[in-house]
Amino acid sequence: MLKREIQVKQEFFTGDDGKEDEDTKFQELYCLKINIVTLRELLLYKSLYYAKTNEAIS
Amino acid sequence: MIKECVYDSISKYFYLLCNHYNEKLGVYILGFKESDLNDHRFLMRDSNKLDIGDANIVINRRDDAGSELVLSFKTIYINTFTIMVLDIDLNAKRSLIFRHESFQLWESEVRGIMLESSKDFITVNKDGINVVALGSTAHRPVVDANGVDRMLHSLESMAFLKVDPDNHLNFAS
Repeated sequence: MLKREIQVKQEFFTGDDGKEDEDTKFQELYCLKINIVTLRELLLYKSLYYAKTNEAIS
Repeated sequence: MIKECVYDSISKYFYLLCNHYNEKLGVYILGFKESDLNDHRFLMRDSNKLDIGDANIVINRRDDAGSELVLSFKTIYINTFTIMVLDIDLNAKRSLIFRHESFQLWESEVRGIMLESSKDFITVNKDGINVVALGSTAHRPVVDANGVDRMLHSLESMAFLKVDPDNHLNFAS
């Protein structure tokens, strides 16, 4: 199963200046999950793009 | 234990990728000066208690000004193959720029190769060849093994997602 994620992270250290803890730490700021679009969803997106009114979306 | 070593002729630094430090397993990346072995610095210390294998390090010169360290290795138990791009500028506050993780069985062999001309990172394993674009070209057309036209986007083309220039992007596939 593919995860397909892009995580935006920030590297940081803990401890005092010059006496930082040994391990490099990372804080996750946000994460994007990419889903594979089905043909049905793709057609819906296209109709949303082309339609000028709600009624025009079929 | 040293897994891989590379020498940067411009900065006169040796860079090591190790899996053991202070009796702890993990990923340890350090650089030390050719002229003074006591002058060393850690680029990353991650005591995750996991062994690594099939490691590779190369120096990537994106332009005349900056150099990057491109590392790749597989990790036991979590069965991943990781590609990391680190900034080796001595004045850089944060070293990690990109990290790319993909599935890779620990029991299966894998090899990472950096192509100098196209700045692509090629991964060869029993499933075939995977390409990760590490260059500055945002996207370019390629043809896959089945003859299908595809657009190859570089990792750098996603840099607009960063909140701060010090952030790094982790691609998990």
